Amino acid sequence: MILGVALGESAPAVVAVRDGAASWPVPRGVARTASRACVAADLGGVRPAAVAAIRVGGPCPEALRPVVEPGVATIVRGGHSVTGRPLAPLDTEAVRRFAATCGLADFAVTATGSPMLADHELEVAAIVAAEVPQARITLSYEFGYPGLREREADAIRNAALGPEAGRIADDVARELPGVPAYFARTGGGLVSAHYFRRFPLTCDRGAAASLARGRAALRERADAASGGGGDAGPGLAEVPDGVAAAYGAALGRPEAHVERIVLARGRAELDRVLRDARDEALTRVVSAGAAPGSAAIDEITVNPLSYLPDGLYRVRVTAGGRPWAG
Amino acid sequence: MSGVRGPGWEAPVTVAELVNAGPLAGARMYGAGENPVRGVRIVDEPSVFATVTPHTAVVLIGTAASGGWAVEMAMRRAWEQAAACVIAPAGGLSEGSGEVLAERLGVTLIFVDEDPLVVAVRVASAASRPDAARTQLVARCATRLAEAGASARRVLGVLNAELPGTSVAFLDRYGATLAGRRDALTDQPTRRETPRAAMGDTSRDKPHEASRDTPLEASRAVSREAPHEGTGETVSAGRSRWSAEVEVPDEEGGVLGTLVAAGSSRSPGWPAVVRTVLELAVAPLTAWAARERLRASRDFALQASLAERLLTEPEPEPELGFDPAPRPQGGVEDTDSARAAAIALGWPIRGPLTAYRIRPLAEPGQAAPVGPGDGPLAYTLITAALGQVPVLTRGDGWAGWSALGPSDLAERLGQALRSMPWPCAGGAGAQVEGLGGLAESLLGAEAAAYVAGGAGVVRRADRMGPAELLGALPTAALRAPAAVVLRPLLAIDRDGTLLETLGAVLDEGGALRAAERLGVHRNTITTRLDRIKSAGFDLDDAPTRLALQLACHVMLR
Amino acid sequence: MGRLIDRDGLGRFSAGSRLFATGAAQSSYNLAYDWAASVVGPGVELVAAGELAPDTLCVVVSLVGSTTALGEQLPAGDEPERAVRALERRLGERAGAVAALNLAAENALIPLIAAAGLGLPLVDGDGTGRVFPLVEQTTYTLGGMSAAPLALAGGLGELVLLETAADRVEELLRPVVLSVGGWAVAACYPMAARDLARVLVPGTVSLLMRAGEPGAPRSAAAPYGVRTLCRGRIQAVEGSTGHGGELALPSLPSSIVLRESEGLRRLVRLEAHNEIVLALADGAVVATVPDQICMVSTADGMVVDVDKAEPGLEVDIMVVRAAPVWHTDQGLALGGPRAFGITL
Repeated sequence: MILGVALGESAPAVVAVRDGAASWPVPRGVARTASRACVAADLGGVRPAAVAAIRVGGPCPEALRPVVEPGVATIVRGGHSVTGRPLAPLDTEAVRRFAATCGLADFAVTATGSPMLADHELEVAAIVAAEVPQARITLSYEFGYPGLREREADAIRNAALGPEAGRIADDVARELPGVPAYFARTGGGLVSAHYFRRFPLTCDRGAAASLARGRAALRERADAASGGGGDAGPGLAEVPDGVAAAYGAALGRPEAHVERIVLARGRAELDRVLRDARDEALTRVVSAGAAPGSAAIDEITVNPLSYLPDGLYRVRVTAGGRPWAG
Repeated sequence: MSGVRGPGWEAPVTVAELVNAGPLAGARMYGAGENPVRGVRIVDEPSVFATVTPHTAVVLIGTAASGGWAVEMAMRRAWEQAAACVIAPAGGLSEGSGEVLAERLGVTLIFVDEDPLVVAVRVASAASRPDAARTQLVARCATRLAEAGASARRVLGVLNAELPGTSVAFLDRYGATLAGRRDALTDQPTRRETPRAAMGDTSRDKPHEASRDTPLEASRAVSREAPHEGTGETVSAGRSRWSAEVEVPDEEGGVLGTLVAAGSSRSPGWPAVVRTVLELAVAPLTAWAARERLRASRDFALQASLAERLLTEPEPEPELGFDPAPRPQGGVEDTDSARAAAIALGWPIRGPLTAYRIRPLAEPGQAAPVGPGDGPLAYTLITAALGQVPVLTRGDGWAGWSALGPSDLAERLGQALRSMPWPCAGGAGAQVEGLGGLAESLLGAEAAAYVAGGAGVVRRADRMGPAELLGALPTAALRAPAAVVLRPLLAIDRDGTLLETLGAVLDEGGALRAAERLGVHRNTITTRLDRIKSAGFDLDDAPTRLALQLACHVMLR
Repeated sequence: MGRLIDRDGLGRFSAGSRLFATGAAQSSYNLAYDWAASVVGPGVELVAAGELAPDTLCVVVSLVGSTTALGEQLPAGDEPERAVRALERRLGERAGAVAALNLAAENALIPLIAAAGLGLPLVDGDGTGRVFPLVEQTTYTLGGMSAAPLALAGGLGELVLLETAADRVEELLRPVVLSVGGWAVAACYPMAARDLARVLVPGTVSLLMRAGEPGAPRSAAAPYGVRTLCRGRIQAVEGSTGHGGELALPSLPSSIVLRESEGLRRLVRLEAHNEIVLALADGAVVATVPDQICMVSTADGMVVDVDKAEPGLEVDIMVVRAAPVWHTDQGLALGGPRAFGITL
């Protein structure tokens, strides 16, 4: 039995799913026997934590500076070009000073060029960790796509959601002791609680995605049942949004995405970097709660980048798998 | 190799012929490849297409082959110009989209791995001298057939591998496929109704008559559709089909079977080429058949003689306790070795045994349809249905025994009969204990087989009574002798009352019961009997009485 | 006179500039917009070339290189001014107006930012009426004007002045752009207003501002006509070969294979080399450069960049007819299929 949970304004909606069929209400004692719990949550209303944002790059117009609300931000020298060339040595001293004086524990680090080369982000993380031992650090290269400001905004939001995501995960673990928890991704699919704590942004609008999935699945079941003359179950109109989202979450499976800009001259090198990207996606989906044996690449796209030299490609890999729990 | 070429050898080669058997062997082809190729044109840039004539093989090089877009444009232009095909270097276009476009435009697309210019030269030579290209193919087939040796499977393997777009099958004279591809037949409409299973296949359940007759009809259909030298065209499902067949004689000049080839290529020269290659295969197939027959008949004879020995030699004394001494008599040892061989063959020699008998049915006035050479085939079909059992020649049919009880055996016998190319009846004897009782069981089986009468019918001796025996009398055959025997009686018997009375007296065993049956006074019967005796029949003589009773039975039925 | 592009006008202008723009990374567009919004102030004056004094030095300002690179490596903010000032120093003359090379997304906004920063008017028109990959693929070149001397300002303070024959500008420019990080702002095609009036595609800025008004049809951004070729689903994105190899165009050619969703269900192939240069349907040529071929997502109505095309995506393939000058022999030689190595 899989438990679907939709967190909302009021009490959570909970459904028990067996062989694709949902039933509710679910007594607490029964809920605690679930093989896994799949939680759909929208984090839009969550109170963001104050974030210390560090951008690694050059000076820029005021309008293009990091936006942290609430929190503080700095730009330190360093970064790489899209072709992987260092723009400037990393200003480690500036990083140390900022980390030591900002007074915050949730950090977001975004370096120019990190989708190609994440060295400077990793270096910043090491310095921050040394200065602020309790720091929770989001590195933007984990999100992978080019577009510094968008990636930075996502890293900052991820850092801002961290504490509250941790609290949600704690609540679920307390309420359902011993039941492995998964959280619904924004774009569909699930991630493990551990992954959710680290990358809550991937579940920012998990409830909306789960609702869409749940509604679609209910419609299919209703169609199938009416077509087959069987019991159509509860009518669609009767199923409230929380119950539909909980059901949709329970139907998901672990998924992970990797996006990178890669430089590959020649077929052999491209094959190698694609293999690396595949390996990373597989690792990631296992980290997101897939049973290692079940992890598989769903899709891989490679496009040459326009107006850049030969050999620069945008690579996107999607991996999925069966939840290891239940 | 045949020096005589059928018409069509000079006809242009088709694209499929080029790819599958000619200068493009090994290339990947998308599309039907049915168009004839009359020439070659090397196209290095799109403007050349304006001068491409119909039925030209277009070989793309340079800019015209430089990418998917260029190849796709070339295919479009080839379609507009009614070219025979487009030949492009591999890698220019993803084969998936090439396949889609080939299908959409009906333009055959061929990917070659070699230098397209080299390919162009070879295609040009094949297109200008189609007979030379075909001669080359025939020569290659001759070599491969020689390598294949006298094996039907290998010969058909060569034919199907070397003749592109063509399915070849070897059918026995009953129309069953011995080797090769069944689809050489599937487009023959009459065959499709009742596909004949290969020899030894016990799964079919078609009525005996249908499986016997249909292949004959089918082969008639083939020859009807084959106006020239056994090759011809039929149109089915909107596609042009051609077929070719060559008769394969056995070593005595009789018909062994037929090589049948069919395909859907629209190449006018191709059937003639196929026919020539089929003729090359005749000699190895005849040799194969001779060898197989020899082996099969030897095998059949061996097992039959083993079975005869088991039936005639005495069963050894059961051993009482341990006896380390050497066996005193060679005869016993022989018998034991026969038993060992029987066991090795999987034959039942102990426990409950039931005999069977299969009797081919002759049409009235005709000889039995089965000859001495048919034993091996019968053996194959019987053992396929009954499992490992001995098969003895008995009369014009076969007999043997099985560990199955009469009921199961009768059912399996029915299967065996249905698989046989001849109309046969069958009988199962009574179940007996061990080889010692088999003679009796065989007798019952024989009788039951006679009683069975009709084709495909199996009777059981243990279910047989006197009425069945009388019913089994071959009335038609006995009517003439009966008329001779009874002639003196019939001469005085104007209205048939005397014959009727005689029959009734013999059947009922006395005048009194005969009078009851006929509804007349006892004295009337006595009067009639006197007249019968006056005709010279001694009713007190037992043999005369039996003969008369049978004769009456035949005449009155 | 008297027309100003203010914050509101900027919104309409930028919306219009995206209707058929390809190659515009979301990130670089967003930053160009935010950057423009922060400098546009009370408004940038929009003038017709003919309204300027005939001797006015006009300078064409454009982003060169990769929008992906711009989105990743942000501008310092002074690039447009530094490029124009460098060109002025070389010419010994002050610029009196700024014009655009083309008006696709950020390329429409960078000249506006330059004009705002320099306090100069923006000329209503551009040099393509669409987008081409090469700096010299413009109506300015067709009209006999040279892109050089050309000044290039990079994001790390680099300044490069190119002085060369008109047909070698691109060749020299590309390695320089790559070495400064993949993008730069160029000030080029210095010319008098009387020349500009003769060679530009006129009125395109105001056209896009109208097309960018809420509710305006997409076709409003295509003054010479637009047609929808077909609707199709992307089947495959393949590396391509056979064209442009010797041309040293930026990036690699690629090929997008689609299957028409309805109707004839034709096999459609789009050959792309930075831009889509050729469209085939069942092997027949149905559109080529100089007309602009773009994929518009049926899901959100946005133009799909060549490097974001992926299997499964459903798009309308739309063809924007190029300005008439592109369909002259001269125009075809510069921006037609042969310019991309395609012989039809």
